[in-house]
Amino acid sequence: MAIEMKNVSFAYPNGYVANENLNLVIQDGENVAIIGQNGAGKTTAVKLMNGLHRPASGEMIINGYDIKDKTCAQISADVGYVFQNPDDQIFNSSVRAEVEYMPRYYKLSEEEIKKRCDKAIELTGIQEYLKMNPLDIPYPIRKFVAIAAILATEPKYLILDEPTAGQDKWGIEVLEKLLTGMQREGVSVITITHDMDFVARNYSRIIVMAHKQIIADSSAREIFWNEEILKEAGIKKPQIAQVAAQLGLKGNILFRDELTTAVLQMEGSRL
Amino acid sequence: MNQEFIDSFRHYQEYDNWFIGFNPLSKLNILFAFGLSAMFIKEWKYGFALCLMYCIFAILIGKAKPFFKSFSVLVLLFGVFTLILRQFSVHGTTVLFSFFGLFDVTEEALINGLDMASSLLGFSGAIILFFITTQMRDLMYSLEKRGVSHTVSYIILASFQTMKDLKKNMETIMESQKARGIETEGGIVIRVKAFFPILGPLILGAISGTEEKSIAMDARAFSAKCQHTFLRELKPVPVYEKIIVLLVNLFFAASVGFKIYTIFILK
Amino acid sequence: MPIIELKNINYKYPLARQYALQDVNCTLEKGKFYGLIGENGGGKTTLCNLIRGLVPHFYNGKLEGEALVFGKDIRDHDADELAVKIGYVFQNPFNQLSGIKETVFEEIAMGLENLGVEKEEIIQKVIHVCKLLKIEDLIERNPNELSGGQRQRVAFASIIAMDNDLLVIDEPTSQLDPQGTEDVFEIIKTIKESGKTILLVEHKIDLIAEYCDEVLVMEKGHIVYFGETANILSDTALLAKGAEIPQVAIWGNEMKEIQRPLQYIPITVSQTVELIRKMGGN
Repeated sequence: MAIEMKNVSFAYPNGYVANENLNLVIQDGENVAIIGQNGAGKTTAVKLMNGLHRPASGEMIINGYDIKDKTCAQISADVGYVFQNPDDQIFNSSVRAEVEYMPRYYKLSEEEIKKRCDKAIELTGIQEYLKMNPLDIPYPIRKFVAIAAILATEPKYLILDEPTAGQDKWGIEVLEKLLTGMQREGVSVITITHDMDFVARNYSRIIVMAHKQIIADSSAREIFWNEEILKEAGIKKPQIAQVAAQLGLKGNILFRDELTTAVLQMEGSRL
Repeated sequence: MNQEFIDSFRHYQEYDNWFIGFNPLSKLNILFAFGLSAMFIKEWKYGFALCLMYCIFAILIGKAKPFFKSFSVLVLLFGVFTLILRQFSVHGTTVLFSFFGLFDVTEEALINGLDMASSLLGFSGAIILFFITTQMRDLMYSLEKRGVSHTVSYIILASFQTMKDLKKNMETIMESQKARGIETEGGIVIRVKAFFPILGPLILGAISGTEEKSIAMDARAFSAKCQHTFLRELKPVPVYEKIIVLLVNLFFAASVGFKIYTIFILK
Repeated sequence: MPIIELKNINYKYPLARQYALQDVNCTLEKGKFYGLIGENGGGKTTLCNLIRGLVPHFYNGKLEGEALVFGKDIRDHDADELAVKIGYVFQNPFNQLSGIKETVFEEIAMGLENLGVEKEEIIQKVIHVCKLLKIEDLIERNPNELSGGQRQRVAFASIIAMDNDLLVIDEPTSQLDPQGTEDVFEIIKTIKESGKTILLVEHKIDLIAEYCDEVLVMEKGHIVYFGETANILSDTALLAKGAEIPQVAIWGNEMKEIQRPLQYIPITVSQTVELIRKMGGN
């Protein structure tokens, strides 16, 4: 089962074309990052994946069915989407109620509700906030509450729209733990982000978007070392890679330990 | 950068049509005077003549479509509805015709209804004309120049914008609720169920937004004590415009006088 | 002459149980670019609110200690006066625009209108600022129809046009892509070079390392580190306090641990490259 986009294009009702000819396949359990400048079409592309947007042309197939036969709310059982602004989503008066809302909406058994919510709460690390009103907790933590609420619906594919924005070190750590946890569960996570270091550390597959199209779909190592792609998409290498590039080191270095090895080798060959 | 656009601020704002180019307060005065006169002179011949004048005027100033769009709604609401209602509340003696022998339409009730309806339409027609010929920001500008507080002006304009934003915000919130699995498409029961999850974030968002907005406006020296200047200005009121306003006011005074005369003297 | 002096500040928001600022002491000098980093909830925004005068004038609550802004105690300052002297840009782009102006040009002009600036000067300043922030193509657009990133740039422009001596900027780049973020930092640098003082709250540590003169680190309401950028951001002790340091600094420390130290711990890419070239002595 997979998310498949076949020659999908999307235009707004006013005629503005936001996505042209998108082709991609995301399998179960894949961890994918989508990067690119603002305006490149990232958000409109992921909104096509859960039915918030409908393709103007092409086919959008999820888990074997064409999305045109289902409503967005129906598709969201398979594809969960966490909005960038948690305040657009949260409306319950306690964090626990927010997380439990969808399982209750689906009329699941009390046992099942507890099981799902406990798991979602554990993955997002919001245990200490359960009894609080979401409005009383800091904004970056509210982002985790919104994620937990979607996790409780146990989607097979999870879309995170800029979860790293405004997060501090602890927040990034929780996100990284979440990604590992999702991998363990076999859930695909698709993340839109601008944090290149975060991307290099956590994603095996990166989709680069520019000018309404997908211009690259590959590994971090290949993409961050492809000067043409970087220029077209307006993105930069992670810091360590920048150092390696300026020194002309071989090996498409991305991480510190690789830099250490390369530098020591360089030193060794000098002596 | 568009030089023409930037230059437009160096001169007074210009409008295509002579009436629309009138000072907002002049327009308010003129139209309000006509509107009130319809309320005073509650005679259907006057009222409908006035409405006809509005229609012709709207066409002449090039605002036919927006005027007829709003006015036709009011004709139905105020006009027809009032007329029918009056048939039930006013009892007359001269029966004109009967509805299936059950209900009589009397001459007195009909005239009364037409008087009422036409005065309401005469008033509301003027209001519509005002709003389609005047931008709120121009009205606020004129009021501020006359000494109305800057804060009041901001609150009024911001409220209008907030209402427009409300619709957009509601769409975003609805999207995010759809995305988590709350069904919003379908029959009335489903839509009503989806209403509550949308209302909460909408209202709370509006409230929390207000605090940040006031801090933001503070940062723009909103409360600075010095005299404000204006980037965008309207021309000062020319003499002929003042004369027209005066004439309209005199007409209004005359019509009130005439009405009083007919009520008290001629009785 | 210090522009801000905080002595033994303790502050609690109304109805709060804990102090948002505890034992805060610091001095900010004129003309410097300060970076303020630390974990969320650590007091960064509250410190900004204090400097900006929102605490105590807007938020009330319990304020102890001495806070001197432009040499005068903050409680003695007229709240409106402070608002005019100190520019403030904050994170949420959707609540920073007035909503009552129909074009971006007029939006940016609004602050200057409020300050009573003459029309022609307003026009020149707005044009200048639009060029600086690269938003010339947006001047006729309705601010209410812009994206988050565009709004953020317009909000920035609107404050910069007012030419305040002190700018407090709270996470302005959260909605911007990497290019947009770099543009903003370049602009802040230009402003600093014209003699303004800047306090910037950010999580993007690479850019703080490149542009800021000094860095303050906050944790749980305390200022735990304050000093020159190079000294603060090269110290791995920050990592335990919920703050980040640049990847190259972590690497520099790692090299030190394996007995292959660089001349000093780098905090930017260019420093790192230079230091590596110098290794093994050429």
